[in-house]
Order: sequence, then C-alpha cells, then structure tokens
Amino acid sequence: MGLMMIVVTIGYSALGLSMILSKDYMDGFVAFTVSAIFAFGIRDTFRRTKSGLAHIIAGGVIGGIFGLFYSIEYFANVFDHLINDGNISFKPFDNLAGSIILALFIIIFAIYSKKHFETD
Amino acid sequence: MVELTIALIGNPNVGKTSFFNALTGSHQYVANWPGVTVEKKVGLLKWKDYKINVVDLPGIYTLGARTLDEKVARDYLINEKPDLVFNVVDGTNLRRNLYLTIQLIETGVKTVLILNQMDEVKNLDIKINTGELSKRLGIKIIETIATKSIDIDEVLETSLLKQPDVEYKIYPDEIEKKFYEFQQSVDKEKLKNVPLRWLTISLAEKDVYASSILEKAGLKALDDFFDNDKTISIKLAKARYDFIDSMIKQVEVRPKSMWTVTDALDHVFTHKFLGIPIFISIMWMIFQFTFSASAPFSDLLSKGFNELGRYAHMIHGWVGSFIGEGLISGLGSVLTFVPLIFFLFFSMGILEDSGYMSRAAFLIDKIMHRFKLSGRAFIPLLLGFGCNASAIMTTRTIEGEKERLVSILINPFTTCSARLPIYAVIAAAFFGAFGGFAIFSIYMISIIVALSMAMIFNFILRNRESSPLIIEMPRYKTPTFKGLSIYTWSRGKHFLKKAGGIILGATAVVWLLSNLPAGVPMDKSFAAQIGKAISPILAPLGFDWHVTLALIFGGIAKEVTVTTLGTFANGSLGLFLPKILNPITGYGLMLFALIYIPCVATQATMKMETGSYKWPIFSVVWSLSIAYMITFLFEKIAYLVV
Repeated sequence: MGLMMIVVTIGYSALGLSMILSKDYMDGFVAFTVSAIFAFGIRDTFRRTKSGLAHIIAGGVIGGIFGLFYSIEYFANVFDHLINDGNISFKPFDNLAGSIILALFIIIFAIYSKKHFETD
Repeated sequence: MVELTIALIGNPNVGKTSFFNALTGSHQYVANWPGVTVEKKVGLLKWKDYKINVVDLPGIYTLGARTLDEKVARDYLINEKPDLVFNVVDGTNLRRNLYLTIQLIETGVKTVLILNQMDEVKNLDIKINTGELSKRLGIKIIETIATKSIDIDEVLETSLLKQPDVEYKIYPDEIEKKFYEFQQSVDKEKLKNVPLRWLTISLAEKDVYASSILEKAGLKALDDFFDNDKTISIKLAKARYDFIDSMIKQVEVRPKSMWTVTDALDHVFTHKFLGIPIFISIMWMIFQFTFSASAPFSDLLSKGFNELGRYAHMIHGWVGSFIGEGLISGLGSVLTFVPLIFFLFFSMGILEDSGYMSRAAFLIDKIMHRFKLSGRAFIPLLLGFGCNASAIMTTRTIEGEKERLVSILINPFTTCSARLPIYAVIAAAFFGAFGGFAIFSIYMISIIVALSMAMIFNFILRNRESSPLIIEMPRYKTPTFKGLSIYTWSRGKHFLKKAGGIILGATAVVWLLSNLPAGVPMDKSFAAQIGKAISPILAPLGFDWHVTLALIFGGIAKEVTVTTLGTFANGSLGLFLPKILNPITGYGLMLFALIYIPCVATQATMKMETGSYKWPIFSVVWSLSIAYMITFLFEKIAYLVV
C-alpha cells in the first residue's frame, strides 16, 4: 500500500513538473499539492493508521476534482477553438491524458485501500 | 380562518431554511455553513382552516445572544411571542442542540422539536429513542429529512396536539429557591408580557438584555442576585448539560468509533502545512473552471451579438444607430458575460454547499488575527467575490462592533462578479493565453488590498481586539444539482435584472451623449466633451476620455464600464481597447476598477448596516484615493521593469 502511495506521489510530481515546464504554473501548483497530500501520508500508510487512510481519501478527492476540472478546462478549450477558428485542436496525449489516468488510478487505489484498511 | 405564527429556531446549519422551504414552498437559499440566514424571513402556509405565518430565524446556540443576527432571533422570540416554535435540531448532534431546546422550554412558549437530518443519523448508525426523549422533555418530537421532503399534515397535526405534561428538575434546589424568592418579590403586573422563568434565569446569568427589560419595566436592577456569585452562569450551564447528558444516556446509542469521511478529510484539509496549499488549489480550480467552462458560451453569444449588430446597421438613421451601437454593442458587450457570471455563482455554490467554507475560515483565522480580524470575517470576504452588497450583510455574525465595521469597510475591495466583465475584456485584449492568470492575480491582489486596508482601518478605529473564531465544522456534502441551480439562479438573476434596468438605462444615456449634438463625430460629442473635461485627472494613469467616462458611469454599476466602452467601440472591443490602452495601462485599469468606489447598491447596504451616511461617503473617498495611488505606483514601476 505504501509503495502505491509512493507511485502516486511521483506520478503527480511528474505531472506538476510537466505542467510547469509548459508554463501552466497554477495547474502545476495544484498537481504538486496533490502530490504533497499523498507524500505526507506515506509513513502512516506503511503503519496502517487512520491518518494514512485520511491522506488517501483527501488526495483522492482533490486529485479526482483536479482530473475532472482539467478535463472540463481542456474540452472547453477544444470547443472554444471550434467556435472561433472552426477547427478542433485535440491532442489527447497532452497533460489531459496524464491527469485522467492519474484520476482513474486513484479511484481504483481508493477502492483497494478501503478494503486494505478494513482488514485491520 | 385561524391565524397562527410559527417560528423556526435552532442552532446554525441544522436545516431550518430547508425546513422553511419545505413548509412554505419557498426557494430560500440553503448552504452548508453556519451563518447563512442573518435576518428573519417570513413565508405563508395555508393548511386546512389555518393561515400560518412561518418565520425563519437566524441560527443561535443559546438565547444569550451576542451578535446582531443572534439578537434578531432572541428578540423575536421574547418580544413577538409566536404561537408555536419549531425547534429544528440536528439529530446527529443532540447534546449540543438540546441546550437551546431547554432554554426555549424555559421561555414557556409552546415548542415542538423537529429532529432533522435523520438520513445522516441512519448513515452514522445512531439510534435515537424519540418516544422516550419526548417524554423526558415534555414536548412533541417529529423526525424529518427537510432536504428531501416533509409530511406537512403529520408535522402540523402533531404540533397542534396538547403537549405531554411532564415535570423535571434541571437546577439544584438552592438555585431554584433563589429563583422562587425573586419571582415572589417582583411586581408581576409590570412584567406580564415577559416570560418570568426565562427572565429570572437570564438575570441570574447577568444577561444585559434581561436587565434592560427589568429597567424598562421600572424595576430596580438586581445587583445582589445570587450574592454576586460570579460562577453562577457556569453553574447553570453545567446543570443544563448534566441534565442533557443524563437524558442522552437513556435515549441515544452511538457506535463506539466514529471516524467518518469528514474526519478523514478534515485531518488533511486543515493540516498545518497542507491546509493553505489545498485552499489555494481549490480557489484556483474554481476560478479557472469558471473562466474555461464559460468561454465557449460567451464566444457563442458574442458571435450572435456581432451578427445582430450587422443586421441592425442595415437600419438607417438614429434607430439603427441606437440598436446597433447602443443596445447591441453596448449592452451586448456585457450580456456576453452572462455565462461567466452564472458559472462563477455555480462555482461559489459548490464551495458553500460542500461545507468547505467553514474550513477556509478556520485555515485563514490565524492570518486574519494578524490583521485584527477573525476567521469569521473571512466568510464575508469570500462571499464578496459574488456580490459585495449581500456579503456585507453577513458581517452581522461578527461579534465585535469595530471588527464588524472594519469588515464592512474592506468588503468592497474584494472583487465582485460585476467587475468580472471588465477584467475579462481587458485580459482577452492584452494577455492572450495568460488571461486566466491575469484575472486570478487580480483576485489575489483584492484579498491582499482588503487585508492591508483592514490594518489601516483597525489603526484609525483603534480596534485592538479580534473576536475568537468559534465556528461549526459541518459535515462535507456532495452539492446537489437542484441546490446549485437555486443558488446560481437566485444570484445570477440579479445580473439579468440589472442588465434590463440600470445597465440598459446607463447605456442609453451613454449612447445619447455620444451622438449629440446630432451629426457631429464622436470625439466632438457631449460624451467626449464631458470625458475630456475630467480626463486630465486620470491622465497620469494613462486613461483617456473614453476610459474616464466609462469609469464614471461604472460607479453606478460596475458592468456599465464595459457597456460604455462597448458603445464607443461600436461592436469591436477587442480592436478598440489596444488603441486606447497598452498591456500596462490595461492591467492598471483592472487594478483601478478593482479598488475604486463601491457601487450604489453596496453604498446603500453600507448605510443600512452602519446606520450612518458617514461610512459610505468615507468608503467612496478612501477607495478612490487608494485606487489612484496603487494604479499610479503600479504603472510607474511596471514601465521601469518592462
């Protein structure tokens, strides 16, 4: 479980870095915040304490909202381009794909972690 | 028809307004943070042979009211004497809620306990023996889930039944003996309209309001009541809690460990290090969602207005000019932002309904204390992002008089939704892909300016103390689409009303001034003459007569700044603005629009809440001076740096 937390922490840090490199500073900040939420819970997750679960849930909620928000922002931009320029500039492997994959990952992660903590 | 008055009273955030809406069929705004209702609201219910006035009162924890909103509730109960009181109680938190119930029973008014949020009670696996609770309190109890629906027949039929006749003892004998002695000694004739038991207990608690009632009745204040025992209030509160605890032991069963999702989220969201970054992230997501999601709709509307403008210009003469330049270019330039305003309110609705608002206040409390304000003063600041006028009313929940005045005075510095169209047109004209960031920076600056002003006002008013933050942390809830729709519509419709009224009127005046005397070009029109006469004052800021006149009209309602520029631009603001501004003066205009004079509605609310013309006048003069100074400094520094 703790290892999965490390993976998600690194995942969100990488996403944040890629966003900052593409001059998307505030979204990068959000990604780093999600990463920090998971990072602060790694030790407690190894110890299987309630605090560890709290970090998984909170990271999942903020990460999930971020994924949803980023998808809306992305598709709104695509739609806006369509209205103004008459063409679609859809690049699914931008940061959008990363945030969706991470959001899906943490949903599965949250379901798995619930079972994990219930066994204690 | 029998006329009845029913008052809804209870702790903050227990569902009183939801219950009020369910009873009366109203659509009053309901949120998930304490202090939403700050004034009484009245609704009418016709049921069988009854005509019932239902009064929704602000939430209170005890009858010992301290803040303005709490006083509204307490004064109504004591002075207006409703026929029946529905004491709305959060079923998941009986211990805290029943304290007020006991005080209500002490007033002698017929009380019915509405045990609300029973769905949450079930979810948390709490068992409540309502029959036993009813017997012990001697009042009727009705279980409800007010957010879903209520059985009005059941509620009213049960309420109108005779209450169970129960006698119980809360206070120790020696205290009861003192109460008895006092009641025997006073002239009951002079106090016949006052609940004597409540008055006695309140006097013992040294309640100022109770003392004033005694003095008004021409009776002597009781300085030696309880032999000046300074601990009597604590003894009375302890007796009430002991009574509640012994009762709860008999009527409520809770699961042993109660670590809920709310507890888990709070563990992280209010974390010492993570709390503030999470708050900034949430605010960013909310604003960015607002701008991104509304952009396609705004662009569609813009294209629609451009097409309409093209058709309007086919009409010859002043009619075509008025429709094309005045209505479509002018009014259209601000109506384009209707989606933006609605999305902003939708986002704010999510923030309020989710329960995060109280956490934000808690997180910011420490920072606010440095500015001699409490975290509670942060809620009006956040709400000011929607509308300053309505946000100022929520300062009624602030206890300290000077702290409240400071909160009122700094509120116009938070950037309301009406200023959003100004930022949006400038950001689109000058900042391209960084437009969202430019607008977000204005929001952040608005908080910094507001807090800096708080420091200055605290110094001027010699406010040295900030009240401690005691705020309830409601459970997190997923906002419902229905709730968000009611919130969005109730706030957004004011923008539409303004567009059809004051904005339309101001736009027509601007069009008229721009086209008179007939036949002259615009830069020779009355508008140009007025603008040019005043523009030397704003010339050091790089604002020409167009911008000057737009800002003057914007004093009525901030959106008029955009409609005025839209009228001058004749439908192409994006091309017009770079001719009269550059990116530095453009951002300067955003700063100036953020800080300069509160709109007329905000000034009127300030007058109402402070009871004096002095403060709105002060606010206008002060904010104009500060806006000028900050914009001037910003531009000078920016020119040096860039």
